[in-house]
Amino acid sequence: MSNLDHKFKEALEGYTELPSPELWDKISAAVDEHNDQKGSGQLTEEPVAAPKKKALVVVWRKQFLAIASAAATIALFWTLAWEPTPEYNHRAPFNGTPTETDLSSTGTIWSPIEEALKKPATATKPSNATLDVTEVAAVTTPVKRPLAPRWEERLEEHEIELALEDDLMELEIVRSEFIQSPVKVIVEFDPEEATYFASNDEASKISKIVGEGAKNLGQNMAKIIGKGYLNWESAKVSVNHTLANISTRKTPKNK
Amino acid sequence: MEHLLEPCRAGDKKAQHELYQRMSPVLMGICRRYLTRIEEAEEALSNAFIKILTRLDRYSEEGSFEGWMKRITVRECLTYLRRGKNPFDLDWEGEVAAPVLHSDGAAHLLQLIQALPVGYRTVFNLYAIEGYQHDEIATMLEISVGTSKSQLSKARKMLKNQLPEFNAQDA
Repeated sequence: MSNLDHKFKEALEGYTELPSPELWDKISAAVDEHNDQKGSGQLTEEPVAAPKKKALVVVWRKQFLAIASAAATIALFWTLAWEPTPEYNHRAPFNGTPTETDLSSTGTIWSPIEEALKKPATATKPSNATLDVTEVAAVTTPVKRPLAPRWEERLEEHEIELALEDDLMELEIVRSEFIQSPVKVIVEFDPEEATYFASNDEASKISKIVGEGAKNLGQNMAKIIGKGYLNWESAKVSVNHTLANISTRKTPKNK
Repeated sequence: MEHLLEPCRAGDKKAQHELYQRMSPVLMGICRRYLTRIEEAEEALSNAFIKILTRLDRYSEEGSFEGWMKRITVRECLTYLRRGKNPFDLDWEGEVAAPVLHSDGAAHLLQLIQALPVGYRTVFNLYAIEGYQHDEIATMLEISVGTSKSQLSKARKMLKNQLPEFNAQDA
């Protein structure tokens, strides 16, 4: 720390200033409203430990339970609907074409990405020519949903906590590649929209899902094209759903 | 301060008000370092205090209660800045209008910080006063470590130009 930093730290670390007197009334009313919404007037959530890692573990456990139950439901439907994809031999030479996973085309399962892609006001143009919707366009009819508000407002309580812990970050790189032998996954986002909030970790997890799906389909490359807000849970469900649809069409039934 | 924790958690209005009276000047001081306009600082303070009072059961008592409240306030200020038209204004390279200086030391230095472009100001606050490292700042502001370092360097340079004693050292 330089002398300059030290001078400012010493002078301003304990700097105090009185807010306007009416501010407490506003805060108090908001706290009351929050407690009323909670029902009992007292918060009943489990306490979360202060260190980052512990807090995140608690949050992720809760989210994991939600994901696990959703995945189990989807898996049940899939099992009833179609046979599994034949096992992929990753040693075999690749003869296919890259799989492109357009998150806007997942239809019945909503995700912020598909919502943003459907939004005409911000649909300036797809980020590049690789946006291939033909493969999945016929899958489902888009569901009308309200436009996405600011990213903070659409977060659940636990996700807000994550955001508070800086787990949700803006994707700095518009295009990133995740190479997972033998599958290469490319994540692309439209550079014209300024706010894509996702952690690098989320992108990595999604790429694994997509990569696994592409591998099962006998592809050596998959691509996620997104625009808008990337939320791990909804994106994961969307990606799985899209891959399931692709698999369904490519997998001969009653083999 | 810690003795207010349990009654505040239980929803005791009197305890919550006492906590506010004790901490609001400190937290307002933080908000004023990040947000130059008083209305903005008060809005950030208000949001931070609502979070504090509604999330008290998430405070694990492993670290200092005051530190926990300060961290929430800093992050609330960053959230407020992020909502702006040009968050953190990192490309700003223009000149700064000379601030009207107070004779009082802290207020004088606060004005110098407030006169910095928002990107310089935010990084300087986080690094020099809050004590975060560049990698932490980079994560918080969603910028690169290099950008964080350059913003700090530019902030220091600009502040030195306003402080005669540091100008003399450089000469």
